[in-house]
Parts: sequence; structure tokens; C-alpha cells
Amino acid sequence: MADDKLSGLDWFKKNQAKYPNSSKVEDLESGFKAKVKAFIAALEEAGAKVKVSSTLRNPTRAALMHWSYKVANGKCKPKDVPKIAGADIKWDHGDDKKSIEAAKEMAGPSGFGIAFQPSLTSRHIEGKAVDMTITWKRTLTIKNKKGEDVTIEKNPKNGNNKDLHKVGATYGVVKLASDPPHWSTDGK
Amino acid sequence: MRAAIAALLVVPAIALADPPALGTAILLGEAARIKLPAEAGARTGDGVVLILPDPAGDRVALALATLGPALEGGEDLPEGWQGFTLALPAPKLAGAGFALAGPLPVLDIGAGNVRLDLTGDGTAETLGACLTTEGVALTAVAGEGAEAETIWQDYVYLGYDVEPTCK
Repeated sequence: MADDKLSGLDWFKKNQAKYPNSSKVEDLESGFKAKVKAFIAALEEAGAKVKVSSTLRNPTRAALMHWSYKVANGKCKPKDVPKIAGADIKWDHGDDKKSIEAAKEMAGPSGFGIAFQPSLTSRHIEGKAVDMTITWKRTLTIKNKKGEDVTIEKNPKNGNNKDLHKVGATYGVVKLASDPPHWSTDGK
Repeated sequence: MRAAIAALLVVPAIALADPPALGTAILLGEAARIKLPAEAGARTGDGVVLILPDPAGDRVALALATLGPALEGGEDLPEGWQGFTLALPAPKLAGAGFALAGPLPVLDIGAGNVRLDLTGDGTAETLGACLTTEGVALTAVAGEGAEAETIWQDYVYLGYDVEPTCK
């Protein structure tokens, strides 16, 4: 009888939905959630469009991605993968070649679709980061945390605008410049 | 005979004067796609060269691929750009990098970067890639050292967290 705990595409298809990532502001860490809600409310009141694409990322999912990538790419032996809290999975098929092929299936385009080694920790995994696309037309007049009007006329008319970053910071929502959609508690 | 030899001498000179169009190759998950400047006039069936520098190492992957059907506009397809699906050769590549459409220039491939003349002025620019917190930063840089100037850049969102390699 086949062992349904063995890693591979079958395991991925049967189990991955148990470890979902979120795109809901409600799932953020409570302190940061309040700040993000206030900033988004100010943006929308000013006429900007806001689309949230990612908030809390599941730590078990991140670990499954991390270790499937490492095994698939020969960076960790299948027998050496540590236990992942919340996931009942066997990486070692008793044959290294089979184990690595199974990990490749999980990391590949039909599985997690990973091209680079995922991190085990991040502000997203802590619930302290949000990815959102912000756009507006013409001039944006938005209230900062103190309730003062800030008028933004310069381009770009999107979340990469540095004047908007200053407004976000007043709400405790800090922009990470290297990643266009990403804001967090501390810009990391 | 003399006319044929003259033609061989003339054609390469014309090719060198026309730089390729530079776009972005996004090979993540099951849907590979390309973004190219609309002015390149690319069409379904055209060949493209894919250049994928490893943003976490010093290897460079190269591939020839064919443009599939054109994509409708989306959030990552701003005005002035065209999108296409991609028919990849086997084995399939994964990652994010550059797409060249048009005349194939000479590529000088070094440790993790690629140099080629993108502007047609006879000097080479450098293509590079590095990982940000959750994406890949792609750049084309003219000059070196204190005179280095980024002349083209793009960002490919991964949707998951990685260890940054960008400096």
C-alpha cells in the first residue's frame, strides 16, 4: 500500500490547501492591522485605488517550500530535513534519487512553482507586512495620521511615490523601496 | 562572385547598427511570459533569446524560445509594453531574467552577468539580476564604477519571501 505521507506531487495536491497564505488585512498581527486599515482608509478617502495581494504567509507552507527547494537542488539530504510543525510528510523515500525527484515535483511548476530558495522567516510570516498596489489619477490629497492634508502632485502616481511613503510612515506603515508592493512595520 | 562577397561584408555591419529590444522574461509557475517594448513590433512566432543570470550565484542560463499568443494588458503590463506567452524548449527553465528580440548581438558572458551592446553605440552594457525581499531586480547598466548608470530596470514579483542578494 502506498505511503501517503511521502513527498511529491501527490502529497502536494492532497495537502497544500491546508497551509494557505492570506490576502486579508484582517489576518495581520493586531497592532499592524490597525495601522494598515487606517492608512488604506485614508488612501481610499483621497480617491486612490488600493488592491491588497498578500498579508499573512503561512509558516508551514514557507517551510515546505524551503525544504522542497533545498532537497530538489541538492542542498540538503532528504534524511536531514527537520520535522516541519503541522505537516505530516516524509522526504526520504529510501532512495535518494526518488526523494530528490519528489522534491523537484513539489518545487516545480505544478507544485509550489519555486525558482529561488524561499526564506523561513519574514515580516509576512509574522503578519507584519502587506503587499498592495496603490494607484491614483491626477493629484492625491491625503490625510496623514495627524489629520493634516498632504497634497501629492509629483509622479509616479502609485505606491512607489516617495511623498506617499512619508504619509504611510506617519501611520506606522513603512515602505520597502526594493519591492514595489511591499510595506511593513519597519520597512523590512 | 564579387557582389556575393560584398553582400556578406555589408550584412553584418547593418546587424551591428540595430540593437535588440530588451524585455523581461518571467518563468514562474506554469505560465511563462515575456514583456517587450511595443516599439519592438514583436509578433507571435518570433524568436527571442532568454538570458537568466542566477541572482543568487554566478551562472547564466541562455535559451532560444518562441513567442506565443499575445496577452491582454494587466497590472504588470504598463502602457507601451506588449506581453506574450512563451513556448519554451525542454527542459524548462525557471526564474526571471531578460528577453532579447531582434538582431542577436554578441554576448560576453562572465561571472553572473552578461555584457552586450544594447544601444548600438559600440560599447557594451551589463545585464544583472539580484534577489530583493520577495522579487528579482533586473538592471541594465552602462559604464563602470563611478560612471555606471542604470539605463533600464524591471522588477519581477515572486509572491514568496527569499533571502536578498541585492547590495
